[in-house]
Amino acid sequence: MSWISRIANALRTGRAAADLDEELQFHLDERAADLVREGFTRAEADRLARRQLGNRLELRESSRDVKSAVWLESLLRDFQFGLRMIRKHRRASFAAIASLALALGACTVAFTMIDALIFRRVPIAAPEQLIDLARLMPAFFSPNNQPRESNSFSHPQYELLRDAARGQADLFAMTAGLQLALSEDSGGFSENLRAGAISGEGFQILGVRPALGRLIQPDDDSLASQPFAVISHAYWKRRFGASPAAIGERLKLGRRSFQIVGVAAPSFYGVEPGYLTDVWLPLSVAGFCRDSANPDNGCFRVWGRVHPEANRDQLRERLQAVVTNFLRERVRVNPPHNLRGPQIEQFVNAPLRIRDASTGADSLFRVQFRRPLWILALICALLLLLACSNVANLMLARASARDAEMALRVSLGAGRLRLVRQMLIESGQISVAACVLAVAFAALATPALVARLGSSDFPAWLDVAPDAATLGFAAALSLIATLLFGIVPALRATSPHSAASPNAALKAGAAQQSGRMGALRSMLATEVAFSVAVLYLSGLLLLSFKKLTSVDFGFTADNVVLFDLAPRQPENPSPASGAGLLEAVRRLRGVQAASISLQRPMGGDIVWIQTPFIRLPGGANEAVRPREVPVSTGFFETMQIRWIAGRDFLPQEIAGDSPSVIVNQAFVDKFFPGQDPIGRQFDKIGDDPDPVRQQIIGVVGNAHWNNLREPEEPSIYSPLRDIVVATLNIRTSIPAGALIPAVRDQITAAAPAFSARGTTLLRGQIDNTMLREHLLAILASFFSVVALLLAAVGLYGVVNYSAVRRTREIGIRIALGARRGEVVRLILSGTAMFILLGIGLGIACGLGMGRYLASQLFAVKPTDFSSLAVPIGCLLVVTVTAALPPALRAANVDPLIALKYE
Amino acid sequence: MAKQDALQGSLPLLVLKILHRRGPLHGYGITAQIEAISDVLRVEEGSLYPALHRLEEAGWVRAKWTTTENKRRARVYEITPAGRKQLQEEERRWTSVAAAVGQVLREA
Repeated sequence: MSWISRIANALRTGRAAADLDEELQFHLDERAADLVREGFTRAEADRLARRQLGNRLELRESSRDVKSAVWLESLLRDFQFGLRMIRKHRRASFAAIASLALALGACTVAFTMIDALIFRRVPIAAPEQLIDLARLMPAFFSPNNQPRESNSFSHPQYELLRDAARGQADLFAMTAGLQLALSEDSGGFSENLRAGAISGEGFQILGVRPALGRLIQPDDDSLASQPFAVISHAYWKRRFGASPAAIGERLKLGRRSFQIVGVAAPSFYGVEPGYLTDVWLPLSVAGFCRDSANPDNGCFRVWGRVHPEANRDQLRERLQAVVTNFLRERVRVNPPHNLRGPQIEQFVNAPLRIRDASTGADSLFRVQFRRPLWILALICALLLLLACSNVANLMLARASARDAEMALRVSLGAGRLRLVRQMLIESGQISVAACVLAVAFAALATPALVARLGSSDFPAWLDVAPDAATLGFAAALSLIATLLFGIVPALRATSPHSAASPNAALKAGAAQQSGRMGALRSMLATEVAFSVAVLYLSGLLLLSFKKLTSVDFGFTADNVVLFDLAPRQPENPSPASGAGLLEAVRRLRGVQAASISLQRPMGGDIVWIQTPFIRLPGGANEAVRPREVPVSTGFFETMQIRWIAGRDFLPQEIAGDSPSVIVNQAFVDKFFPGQDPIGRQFDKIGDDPDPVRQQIIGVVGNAHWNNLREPEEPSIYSPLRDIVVATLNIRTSIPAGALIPAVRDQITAAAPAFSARGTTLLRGQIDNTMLREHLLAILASFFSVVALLLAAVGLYGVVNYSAVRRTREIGIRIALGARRGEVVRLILSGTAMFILLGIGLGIACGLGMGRYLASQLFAVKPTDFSSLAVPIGCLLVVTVTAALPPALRAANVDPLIALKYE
Repeated sequence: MAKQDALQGSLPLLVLKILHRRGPLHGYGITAQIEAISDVLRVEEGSLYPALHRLEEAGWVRAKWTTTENKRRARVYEITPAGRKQLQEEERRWTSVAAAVGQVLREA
């Protein structure tokens, strides 16, 4: 019984009342029957019985209070009333729900992505124990002269660290950065996939379970072991259709073949948010690191799990000592040629850090998209505020239509609290509808957006399926939104202002509530401010993208195909093989020019670029380090980089050991300003311990190499000698896309010593380097349109309201001889002030937030007022378009009708 | 006839006692029982039903619809185990209050 029955009775008031009536009627009839038996007439008996029982209505009330949750009943009534109101004002409700849903949806999308990329913990047991190690390297180590954390350790270092940590933490090693490998399985099927290498204990320490078969075990991680592989659940489904027969299949990765022994648990995507690791290999078998026994070859990351009771400071001290002692010994045995005196000491003593890795590694993806996602969130939040003020505006205007209703309710004795509650319930219903739509929107839009964040080479992967966090966020945000847009209209509509004088309000049109008009207008100013802020920030992003796409590349991007090139027998590379390949390729039909470069042009942030020190004759090391780009003959012809002076490499310069290099204009401007650079010499201090004497044979124009954002850096083009992994660049004489398969087949036929895969168009490669900017630009344009629309709706509402409210006044004015133009001005003047105020506020707001965007902007400053011209222009056009029709309508009022209206 | 006010507080006690003694009864039956037993006590019928519903909410009686001999639906009340416990409690309190009042009347 108790509260459950009360709620049940509240939900079916009719039934409970009928029961009660029946019970009382039974009583009356029984009593009357007894009285008849005592000799009363039927009519007398009925009357007496009724009198004895008392007032039936009162009885029903007092029993209902006992039997039913009255508050719930009234709540339900408010609820039904709210639904009726929403249905009645169908158009306004639709506008409110749609705009809120859009803004809430955008916020939910941003939240889901930020949560998945930045905050969510790795899906393993007790993720808070997960750590990784890094050293804070001194500033002189990085090209941009900033201290930076390095998480590279050599295998011998890892072994020492692991042994030292024993008892306090279990450490394991993974490859530094999981690589994209070319795969080919027993069926001859090949595709790009992401592979990671992990030491034998890794999976045990992580606590990952297999979904099928087994995971990598300590015995697998030895050179003597069979090459085994573990695949991800997603890859298993994608490639093998989740068939158990996948166990035992072989995958060819690089040059080795691995046998699949197991499938990892479905939730385990790896430890790098943003990427899905398809294949896991044992560290020592994977062969990702050349010469992994070399104590100076840092290509591993050290991860681990700290025991809950361990003292992290103590552990850090202990591991620091291990690293420092190790390095001190290495520096003694093998003195570094590019460090001097105190620098060596700083290198050896670089502080070791135990970093919390519970949310996974700071993957490249996370580093690249962290800021853009927060910017997205910022704009979404502004959009939500905008939508809230818009809905508040609609509700306020609607509330004005309900003055009479409110007054009636007050005079019938409704408390203010009750009225506020009723209005808030109405707002809540709009919110709930918007929230449901928003979650649906987010569920659809987020995966689509994630797919856009990746490229074909680096597909992005984030677990963005709606989870409890997403739903909770959407619900909480809706609640906040309800309060934001609901409370002002609710308080306004029920303000004592109207409540105090129900009399006045009940007379239609008589209420002159300047207070409400003021609220509407300041809400309009807020709305304009938010939309200007959104437009401003979006404008910055759009302008930045426009500038980026109009950058002069320094080369011609169209009709260039890039192939990932690998020799089939890299164990005995011959310098001549590259030249042979090029000769064969250049003879192919449709090929206009061909060359090989060590790195892929426009490889983006993932490509590793050498930046050697250089020294002019008689000078010391230069502070500016040029980048070095090893290329074959014909590179500048293929890329169509402008020749300025000198000549290209000769084939014998590539094959032999010549000092010839080609430099770019920026190099000449920096190191040989105003001189003839051809024939000049300088020393290069790179990988080799001794300086290498170089001689300039040619000068070319500046060309972007990694991405379009980079400044024009001094560059050295050096001869590309041994090809282990390189990129074949081909300029075709006809559109390249159609040629790719033919060219690939011809390469295989003409140069069987190489495999050429991973084809991309240079144009596509450039687009990939601009994914972030492109994404932000697309979203920015979308949000701008939404912001303008919302501003227009809000403005129309306010002007319309003020025009309708003043119909009588306008009628009088016109009757007294006011001209139409004056009436329009009258209607608009009050509103225009607030619009200007809103624009001012919005600009201030945008300027304040613009600084946060600065790092993502290219060639645009946050204070760039030219980016303001477009948004404000648009806004003004929208303003006029939205405000004029109701104003004109008001001006065309027939004074007779307006005056008779009352 | 006693003032009804004096009865107000004891109505639940009487209802529980009667239901305990006579088994399940409908509202009118309870009224009739009280009147039949005592010439002095008259149940204010208007307060009986709210009282019954309050007892029902408290879980001391339970109600169900039954059909009487002359084919009418009647709501019949029955005391629950919790109700019996409550009855003992109330009876004890009533007796002690009555005794105390009696003592004052005798000795004052």
